[in-house]
Amino acid sequence: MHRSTPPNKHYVQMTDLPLELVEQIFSWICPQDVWKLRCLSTSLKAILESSSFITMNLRRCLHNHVEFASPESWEPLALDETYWKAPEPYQTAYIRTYRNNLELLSWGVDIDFEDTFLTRTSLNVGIPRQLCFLKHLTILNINGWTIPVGLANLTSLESLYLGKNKLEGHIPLKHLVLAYNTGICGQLPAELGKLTLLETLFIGDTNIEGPIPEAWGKDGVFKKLQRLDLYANQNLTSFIPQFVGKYTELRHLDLSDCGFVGNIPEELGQLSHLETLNLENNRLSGAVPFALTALKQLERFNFRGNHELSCCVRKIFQIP
Amino acid sequence: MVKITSSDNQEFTISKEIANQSVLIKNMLEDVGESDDQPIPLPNVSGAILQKVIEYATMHKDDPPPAPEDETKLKTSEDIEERDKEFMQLDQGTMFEIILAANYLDMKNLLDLGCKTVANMIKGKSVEEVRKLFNIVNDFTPEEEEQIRKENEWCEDR
Repeated sequence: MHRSTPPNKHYVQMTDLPLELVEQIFSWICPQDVWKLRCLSTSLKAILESSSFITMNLRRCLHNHVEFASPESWEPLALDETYWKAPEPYQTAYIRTYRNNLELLSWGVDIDFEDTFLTRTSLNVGIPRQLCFLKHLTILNINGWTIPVGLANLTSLESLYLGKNKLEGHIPLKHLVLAYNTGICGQLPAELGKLTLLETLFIGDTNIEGPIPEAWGKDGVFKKLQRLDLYANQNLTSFIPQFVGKYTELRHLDLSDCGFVGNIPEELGQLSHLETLNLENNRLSGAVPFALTALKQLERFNFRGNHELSCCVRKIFQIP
Repeated sequence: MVKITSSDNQEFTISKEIANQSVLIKNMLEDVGESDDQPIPLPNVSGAILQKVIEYATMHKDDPPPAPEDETKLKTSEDIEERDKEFMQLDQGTMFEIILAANYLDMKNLLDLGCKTVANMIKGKSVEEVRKLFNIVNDFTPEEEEQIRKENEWCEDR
């Protein structure tokens, strides 16, 4: 380590300054330059990564961007491109400071998307993981991008549009609830099957369309799923796939008030933990399979409203 | 006129308009009232530094009060008046002491000037050069440093 003179006792150095003054000095350096200076030393790294520093740094360096005059606007700003792919502390500070009021956000929208949304963002970046700080977001339209983690934190979200989304990497999502959103439309994304830790999948009362994706039938998919609720999706018209029988942890299966057709697959008899089974008001036909007698944990079931379904339930479940 | 004394007991007599540039002294003067001609002790600032601070305040005594919209005006660290640049041609030790004094005396303009000047010394330098310039000891292992550099991808992306 190079030291030209032994430090004089009265010679004040940068390292003698109180933390707040060091913050002030570095806050005058633009974010993309100052981020690099984290490798100066451990104490400077701690300062330069702190949210108090980063907020000050952004305010200093982005102050003149009058574009922020209309913060609820979701038209992408030039700055979005830089800060939505910034390291997480900067993403967080940027969203909290400048994008906090954002109500509508669109990513990679199709050309035929409704004109009312007047959008075509060309943001060539992924959805920031810090998206969950957008507390006022009511409409999120994601097309062709990875579905962000933390959707559940978007407490104002009313509409979610998902299409052509690629889910990548390890997503620790356990519960995905997209219910009572008539704003949800399009096909069920095959990529949801990559949410390997999912315990709850609840997409009810939406305008989502069938069929249930083939990809959900691959080995290992929804191995931990305990609750599958897809009720009241009138446009979900298809067969009930046999592979549902592979979701061996299922406790609750509700496919009622959809447009399911064909036979009830006998593979459902393999769901040995199943406690409730609701297939009410579909267009199922054929006979209720005898294999369902293997469901020893079953407490409630409902097959009503399937006019072409025939069974002798009493016989099957040995009800006297 | 106002009397102030430094940590090493040097006494300075300054005009009120100069004294008032320090929010700390201004508040003290308001607290003690006009009649008191006891010198105000400033135990955190040495005579030599106080001398420099007074020099700065004298230079700026006729500045117009900052307009409220000044706050929104683009201010970068390059935004320094020529006379201030000359004023800050100091050795590092004095510079940091002035920053400390400005912070203690609550003189925002001088504090910003000092911090901007140091920031400008950092800008455009490599990490190694900055360490050398400010005697910052690198306490990372080479592996740790390498890891941090890997996370700098965003800095090059513009």
